[in-house]
Amino acid sequence: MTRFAEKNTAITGVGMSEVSRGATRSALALTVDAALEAIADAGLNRADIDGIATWPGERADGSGFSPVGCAALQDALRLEVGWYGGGGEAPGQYGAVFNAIGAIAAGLCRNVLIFRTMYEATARKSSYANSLLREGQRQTGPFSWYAPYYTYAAALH
Amino acid sequence: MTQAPVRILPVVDRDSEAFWTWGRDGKLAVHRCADCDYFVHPPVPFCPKCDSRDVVPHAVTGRGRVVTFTVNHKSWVPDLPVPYVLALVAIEEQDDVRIPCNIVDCAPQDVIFDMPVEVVFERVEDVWIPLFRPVHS
Repeated sequence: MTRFAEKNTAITGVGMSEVSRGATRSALALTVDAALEAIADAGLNRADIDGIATWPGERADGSGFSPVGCAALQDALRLEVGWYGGGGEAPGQYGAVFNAIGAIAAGLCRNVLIFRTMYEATARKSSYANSLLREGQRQTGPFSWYAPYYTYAAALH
Repeated sequence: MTQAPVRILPVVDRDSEAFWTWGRDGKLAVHRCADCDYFVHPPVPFCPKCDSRDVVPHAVTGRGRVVTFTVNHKSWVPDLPVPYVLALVAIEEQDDVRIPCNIVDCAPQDVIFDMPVEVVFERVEDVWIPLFRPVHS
């Protein structure tokens, strides 16, 4: 018999930081803003949070694509968690949501803080020519088959 | 595209080296299974058809057809000449080998589906980037 884990879980609170280009506050500070707003919106306290999920996880490369991961936010808020997970090989941003659903359904935790932090518009004003590569940097991985062709935006399916 | 900004270049590894460098000799390299002749692209030394590990670069004719394409009108980075064409080209040897590329030597509005094309190479530093142009009979 199929069990629908998502029907036994719920999104109970949401939060969002200030959004800007050229932020005056750090990516972590903005993440804390959004997290505290979501926790309060859910009627919870920091001590109630026993899980964290994010996508795609910390990328400490200065690009701003995902500057904050589970560990940094857990430390900033002193969260005591039984489970956390952040990784890019999930079905997109929503992968963090479904990882959390799975963790809750499996009994690993009860209240998961799910977040996504982007800082690209700010990072682009400092070291990065675009949000993916530094100037002159070469592309690795599967996108290397597309990168040489000015593949900035195209549907090739 | 002689005035175009430098292309973002690929990191060349053991599997992709032939694809990005055989253009030095005017050849387009696509990995092929030595046991069953199936072409494997992107290249990896494993044949999904027959499980062979003997899959090596093979010089194909460089001819193919435009499977699909997009005409890009926005200049995403400074000095990027527009419009330009992004396409997927299927090689004539095997239709499921689809190579992302630009179509060159052709007005963007003249590109059509199934158009016969042939490879040309643009050298940038130590790589020879395969591009395709219409076959002129």
